[in-house]
Amino acid sequence: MPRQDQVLVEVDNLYKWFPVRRSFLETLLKGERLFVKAVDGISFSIKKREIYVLAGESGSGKTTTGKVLVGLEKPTRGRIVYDGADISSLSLKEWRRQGLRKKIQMIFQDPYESLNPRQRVLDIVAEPLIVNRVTRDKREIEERVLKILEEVKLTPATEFAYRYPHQLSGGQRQRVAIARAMVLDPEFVVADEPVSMLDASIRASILDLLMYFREHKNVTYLYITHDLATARYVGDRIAIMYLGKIVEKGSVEDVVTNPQHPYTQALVSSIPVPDPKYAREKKRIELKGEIPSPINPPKGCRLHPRCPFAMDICSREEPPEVEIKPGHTVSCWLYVKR
Amino acid sequence: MKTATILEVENLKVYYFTQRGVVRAVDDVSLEIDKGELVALVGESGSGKSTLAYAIMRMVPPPGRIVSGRIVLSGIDITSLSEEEVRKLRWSKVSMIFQGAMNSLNPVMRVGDQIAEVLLYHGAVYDVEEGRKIARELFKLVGLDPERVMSYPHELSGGQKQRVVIAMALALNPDLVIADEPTTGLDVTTQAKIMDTIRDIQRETGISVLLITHDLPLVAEVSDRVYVMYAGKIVETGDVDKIFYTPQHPYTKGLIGAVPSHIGPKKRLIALPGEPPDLRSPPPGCRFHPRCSYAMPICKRKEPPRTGTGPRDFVECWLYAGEEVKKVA
Ligand SMILES: Nc1ncnc2c1ncn2[C@@H]1O[C@H](COP(=O)(O)OP(=O)(O)OP(=O)(O)O)[C@@H](O)[C@H]1O
Ligand SMILES: Nc1ncnc2c1ncn2[C@@H]1O[C@H](COP(=O)(O)OP(=O)(O)OP(=O)(O)O)[C@@H](O)[C@H]1O
Ligand SMILES: [Mg+2]
Ligand SMILES: [Mg+2]
Repeated sequence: MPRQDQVLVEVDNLYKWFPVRRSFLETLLKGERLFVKAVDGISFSIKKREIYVLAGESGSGKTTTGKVLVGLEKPTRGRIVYDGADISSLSLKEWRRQGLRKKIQMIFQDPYESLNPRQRVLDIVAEPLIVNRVTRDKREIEERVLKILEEVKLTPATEFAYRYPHQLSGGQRQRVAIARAMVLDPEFVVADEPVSMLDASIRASILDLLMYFREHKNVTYLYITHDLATARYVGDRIAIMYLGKIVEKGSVEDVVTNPQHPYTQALVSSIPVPDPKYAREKKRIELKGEIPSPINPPKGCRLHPRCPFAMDICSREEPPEVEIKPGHTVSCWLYVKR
Repeated sequence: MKTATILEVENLKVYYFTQRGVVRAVDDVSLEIDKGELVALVGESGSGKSTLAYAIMRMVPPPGRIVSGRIVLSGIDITSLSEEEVRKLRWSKVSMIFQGAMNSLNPVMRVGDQIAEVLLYHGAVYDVEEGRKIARELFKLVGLDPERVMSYPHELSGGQKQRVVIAMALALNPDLVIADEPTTGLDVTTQAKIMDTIRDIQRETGISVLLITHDLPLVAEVSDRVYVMYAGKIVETGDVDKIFYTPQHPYTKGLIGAVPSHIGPKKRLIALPGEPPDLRSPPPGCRFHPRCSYAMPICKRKEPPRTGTGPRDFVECWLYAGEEVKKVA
């Protein structure tokens, strides 16, 4: 058998539904319970040392997927295999016992909200070491924190260690968040929009930093973003989400420069291009109306009410996943040969 | 013949006098906008974009104040007008789509009535009923279902709320609309539709627009001319093609090199070193020098002069200063 690249994370038909809170009377009158179908049956796999991008617009289920993968949310249904072991139904205790809290980390979007304003950088970054009982030796903790601060280029580390978050710029705060995620030498990191709150001139240096940890520490990433232009610069493969489903998967270069699903085409054609002449000629593919509620997503293909190419079947049946070239798949009736 | 100038800002300084020091948010800025132009003001967070916009609206919040310079709007020098005189011009000559405005609509008032109120306040209509009628027309103009005038903000999506805010800015038919980050926080597909709407209205009505944004690609898509702001100063201006294809200032070049594109060959992204300065104590000389790979000794000592690069274009950088200027300095 040919040797395949090793898979680190495998997600198989994953669901995450959130119950909608309703009053007793509403439940009585309307009967059935309602759910926000945030993630509604998605599958993908991430290879070791890969940067896998999960992209899509607001509310498509990206963060929810990320939270399930790091154990912050329990899946409603489906399987997650991590490094060969099924971790989908582990209790918190088991999660910790297997060392997953050390191996899997998450970096959040907002460097302003994700750091405790009353803690010094030293304490923020040391927290994972203490919570996971890596060591109690104060000297060793400080040494490890200073070392990781150097690595994320918060230098001089001895100065930054004693600052509070409000004494840092947005870019520096995101470096602290990265240091905290990396201090335990994780294998797998979910980075949820790590640069979308940052200014253009400092984004590239934060992305360089994520690359550094892949090169030197073999970190594997799930990189969550709504920004396909940036995705192209960091990612290897990508999945595009719409209303809790994956509509297209493939190498980032294929999907972003040659999108096939009507939703991906609309998304890509809406991205502003830093090239005025190209921008003036550009044709956009427009979707009708607005994104429907994930409580009652449209029947059949979820895009059909907005899709410029919708056919009869699209409103009746969910499209199958079609492989249009090796590694590039689209879930759309347009590509089903009949 | 030169087309009419709608806005002229000359050597404007706007400072915030805080207890922890003077923030030189807008420091010797000059800018002009012609009738029917869509001009972009692009710069990073904290560079002074909103402050400049507040000054043009004569709404600089305390402890900020216009320190010197001139703002001429449709031929009227508004810098020295009384608050009462300014109030007559605000919304009718110049209006503003405030940063984040879609999240500060009054939650307990129908959106149509919020527009009617603006109209009523300025005496543009006699009663709410007439105001609502105009609100419906405005909704059509910005691509909203006119029936939506009866909605409350929470019943609308982010994109729809932003359209309401745009309708409000257009209510009194101003010569100039300042749009401060009008699409930030919206999805790209919504953003594209909103920008189309602004562009279409601008072309149809001949209104002038000052688009404030940190999003360089967005600027490439919609603007005629561009002002690049860095740390309280305009470092470069030119028409949109010039800024993107032949940028002069190292900061503009750096920004363009740091911005990813989803088309064309994949180039390497080059990160600009460092971060923008604190405007309470900006670096001496050129404010960009600590991050600039072309910095020369003079850049650390003296502020760069303004060098013309076209009839209306300039760059403020020692690399382009004439030899005579350098010798004197
Ligand atoms: N704890 C929760 N309870 C109920 N609904 C939730 C919860 N978390 C997320 N949702 C809903 O699930 C859907 C997907 O949300 P999610 O945050 O995963 O989207 P996203 O793709 O990350 O969006 P964004 O780009 O805005 O961050 C949304 O409709 C959201 O409102
Ligand atoms: N009310 C205020 N008091 C004191 N300083 C202020 C005040 N408002 C703004 N500043 C300071 O003035 C400078 C310019 O701020 P401004 O809001 O104009 O920037 P901006 O370019 O609009 O930024 P952003 O892209 O984040 O909106 C910043 O350093 C800011 O901290
Ligand atoms: Mg999210
Ligand atoms: Mg602003």
